[in-house]
Amino acid sequence: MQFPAAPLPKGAAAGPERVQVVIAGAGLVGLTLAIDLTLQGVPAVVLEKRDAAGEGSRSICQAKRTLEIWDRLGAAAPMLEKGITWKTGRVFHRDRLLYSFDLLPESGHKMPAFINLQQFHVEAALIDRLYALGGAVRWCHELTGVDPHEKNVSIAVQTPAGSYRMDTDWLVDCEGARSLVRRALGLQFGGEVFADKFLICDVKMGHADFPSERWFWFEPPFHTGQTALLHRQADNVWRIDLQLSPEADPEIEREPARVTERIRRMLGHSDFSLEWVSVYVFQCRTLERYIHGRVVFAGDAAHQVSPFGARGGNGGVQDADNLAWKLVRAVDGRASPRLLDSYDAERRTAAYENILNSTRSTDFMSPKTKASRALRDEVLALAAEAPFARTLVNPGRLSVPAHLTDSPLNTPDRESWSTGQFAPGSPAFDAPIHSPAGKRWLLELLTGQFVLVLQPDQDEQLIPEQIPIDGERVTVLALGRDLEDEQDVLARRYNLLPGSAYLFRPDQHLVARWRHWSVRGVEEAARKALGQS
Amino acid sequence: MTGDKSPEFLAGLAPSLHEASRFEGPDAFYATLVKKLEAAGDDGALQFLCRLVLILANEVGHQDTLLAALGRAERKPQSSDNL
Repeated sequence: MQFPAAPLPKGAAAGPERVQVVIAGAGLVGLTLAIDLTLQGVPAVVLEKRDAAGEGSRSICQAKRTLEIWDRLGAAAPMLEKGITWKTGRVFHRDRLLYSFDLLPESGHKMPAFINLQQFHVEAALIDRLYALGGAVRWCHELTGVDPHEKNVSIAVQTPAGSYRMDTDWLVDCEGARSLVRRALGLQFGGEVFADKFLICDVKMGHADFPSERWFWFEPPFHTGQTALLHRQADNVWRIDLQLSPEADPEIEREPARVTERIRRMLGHSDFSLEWVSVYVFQCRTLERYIHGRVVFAGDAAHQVSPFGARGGNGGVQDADNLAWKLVRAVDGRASPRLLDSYDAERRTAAYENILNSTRSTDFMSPKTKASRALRDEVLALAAEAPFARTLVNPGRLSVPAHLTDSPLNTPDRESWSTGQFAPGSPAFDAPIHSPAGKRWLLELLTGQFVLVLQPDQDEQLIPEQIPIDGERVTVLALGRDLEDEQDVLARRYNLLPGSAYLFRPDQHLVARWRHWSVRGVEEAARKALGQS
Repeated sequence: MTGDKSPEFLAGLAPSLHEASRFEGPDAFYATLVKKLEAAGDDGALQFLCRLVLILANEVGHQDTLLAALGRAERKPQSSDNL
């Protein structure tokens, strides 16, 4: 999917173009943010130095929470149609199956546990959605200079037709690991770069006997002493990851004949063609802060993790989801500074969690000493016979949504709830419901604004349809009035007894809940969620 | 976060480990352990000890107790100069 270079903006020669928000980078994260901002009435200028969606399949595992975000933005349907739905993983040691796992054992969710879809297909769907909303990407417009000020950012842009300047209230850097903005601001990543190298390749198979599952091997017979991963994508393309030694030469390992022989040994046949090959090293790193004045960092521009666990792209999309509703309120002056600051606090916490999980997976796959290798090998040996040891086997802990339970925007529980880990800060559970529009899903009703979902008391007479709060409004959804819980899934998942209520913020995270709700309680919690108290 | 140090642990309130012996037959246990290590050879002994740690750790289960035990094992023996 290639695009012609966007023309110079009108009046570019007369002086800097004045805009509210510039997004640098039209990858997964930049496009997600651009769509969300557009839907909320703040169109952003999206700068992209390339003339096409990304090269190679790169991020392929799109997680449930990410799909829920894209569904809220109206972009998920073509991805679900094109992608490979899966939820089962199998872990092997040598030629023996150690165990399998099911990532979504319960029904009653609109979105699957995962789909596998090449990043360029995902980006194509996001581009279609952005353009359908009237937005656009400035293709072949490369950000070449950044000059931050107290209340705006001056930037320089180079295009094939010449250069121009912009003044923007906010610059969001979504340019990925090689971000120019980060370098221009002199910001350094902290964290770890691992010595081990991995060969990552996509192969198109003529025939394949593998199911649509994630298969991971420790020390497989076809790749002695290392790890291997096999995963199906759309178009009968398969992702294969092969661990290499730290001493491996990337140039030599990328040679097609060498890669082909490795894959032939793995598959046992030669009925395949190479689509894309790369060699990479693991990096688990993050900036210390994601907001620097009027410059905000998101996705790989802010943090990087190893690919085992699918936490890079999925974490970046959650960054965009978290940032959009706060940035909209910062642009139009509704937000207190604390609201945008919460993006930094919440997403850094999520990044640390992703980095922690990613680092642990990497350490398990690549023991560094004789003793740690002996321990890892004994875990694998024991796992074949003892179920308890399987919990220690770590072939990548797959992406799960961040539970923002320490967020300053939450109102802590005052009553007891039997909902396990689900608490203020958690993303909403989905549930099948029935609304006047027919069969729906709960998450389809949590769309970019504050929503209160409640189970009325029997004697509760007057339930407002909305609760206004300082230029905001909380939409009230009452069971029996606005939606029906015919399958009783909503009430069970939320322990929603009569009188109970849940308040969700615009990105579908829970901020407060009550056993006996009141308008005043909702107002106080919503103000806190807006950073006002 | 599941599996990480609890706030009590970080605050220095880690559970105290047993200082008094809880072995029912300390000499017999020690002799058996030594025999098995010697029989395993140097490389085999490392594997054996790893496996033993994993089995015992699962029997203990409690996260803070395990972390306290790791900390106790890391501690160097106190000097015996005064003996």
